[in-house]
Amino acid sequence: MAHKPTRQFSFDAIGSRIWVGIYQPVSADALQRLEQSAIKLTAEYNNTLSRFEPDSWVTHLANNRGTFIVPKSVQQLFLLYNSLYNTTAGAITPLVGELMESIGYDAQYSLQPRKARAAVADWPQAVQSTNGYKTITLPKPVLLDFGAAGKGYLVDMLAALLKTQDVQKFCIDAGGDMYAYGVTEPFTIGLEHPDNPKLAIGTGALERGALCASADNRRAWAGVHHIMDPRSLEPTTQVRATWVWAKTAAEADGLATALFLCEPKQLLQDFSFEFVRVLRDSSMQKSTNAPVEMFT
Amino acid sequence: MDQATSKNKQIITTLAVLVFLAVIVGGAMAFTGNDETSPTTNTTSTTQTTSESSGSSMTSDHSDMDHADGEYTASADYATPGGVDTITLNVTLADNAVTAVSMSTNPQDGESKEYDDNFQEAYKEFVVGKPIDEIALSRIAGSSLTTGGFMDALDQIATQAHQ
Repeated sequence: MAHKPTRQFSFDAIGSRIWVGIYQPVSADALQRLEQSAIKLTAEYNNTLSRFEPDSWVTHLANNRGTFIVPKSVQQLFLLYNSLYNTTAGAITPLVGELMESIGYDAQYSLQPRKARAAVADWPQAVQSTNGYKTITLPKPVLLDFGAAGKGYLVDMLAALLKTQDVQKFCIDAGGDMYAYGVTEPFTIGLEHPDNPKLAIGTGALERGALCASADNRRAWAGVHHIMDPRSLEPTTQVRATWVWAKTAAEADGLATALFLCEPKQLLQDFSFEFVRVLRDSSMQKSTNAPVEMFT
Repeated sequence: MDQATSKNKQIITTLAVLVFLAVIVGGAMAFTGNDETSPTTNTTSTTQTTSESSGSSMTSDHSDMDHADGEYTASADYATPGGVDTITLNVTLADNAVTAVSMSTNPQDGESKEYDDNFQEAYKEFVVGKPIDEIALSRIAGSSLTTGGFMDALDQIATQAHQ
């Protein structure tokens, strides 16, 4: 069904649009406070993890070596990336930062791929963890990129914020990365066609938890796109679009990216999720219990 | 034979093939599951779930008959070493055309589940697009919506390319 929220707000951040729908009575004052807190949290997140921000913590790591305290708010993200790194045998790694820069995905969006691609270092060596990523030691500076799961992680942070502010029925949509909580009937989500945003190739249900999508069509330029394979240093070619349902948006986001680089079975060994994946020839694969109705 | 009749024949054939497939696959999976047990297909049933009943029967060959819109389900049971599993095929009809086909199974043990997963991978389906404004949707999920900077940069590149 198509839900109508009782209150909603949205704002542009992290190169996308974040929408929050609330499905319970909330006063105008409370709504304004929620919106301000959400914008503040997103700005803090960006100032920590964005490699496009000249004063961010990640930019600091790109220019210094040594031991650093990991901000508490992002320790879980490091742990998730470490799990994804192990499960995918290195296909998902925050160390693609330099590789992304070398294809022109940089702070200026120069979008000019260079011939020389930056090789990707070994994660456990380049970013050494102490106490479950409470601190990290960098033998040399590294440029980290959290594009694979970072937006989902932000959605989880925003969801936690809403819950602490007594919002018990809501949906967050950060441009394709969604999280729903406390709603009584499932949302019907259109699964966008990877070649045409005016078309859907199916519908999916989302009642509680996260649904994250990934595709290679929008952030594409000059023969490359934003999902790079750190093993081949080339953009992925075999998968067109993925959708993942998981408990948290960070997991769903990371796994949606990982499905471009790995076989589903490899990921299902360590993670619990449902998925749909569309390959280059428009054939689809899905998990047995994926809550979808596909148009075939 | 007029067009409607030929369409009808096509639908009946499709459903017949699906029921047949359910039986065969059931048997094949049971067979794969244990070489010593001969495949036994216990039951095969076809049901129609739709609000209106036009009196059409999926096994008859009344090719001049219209089929009611709705979801048609064919299922077959088959024995595996891990218990009796069921394979179910769903076919959706609208205006006498097959608009969707799907398959589901309820594997009883881990081994069957693995075979079923393999089968579903082998059962290749191709997606098609439908206009988004014709479907009632709460939200859309695809590639991340891009705002501001990235799209501007893309436009600039396009402009440079034309100069």
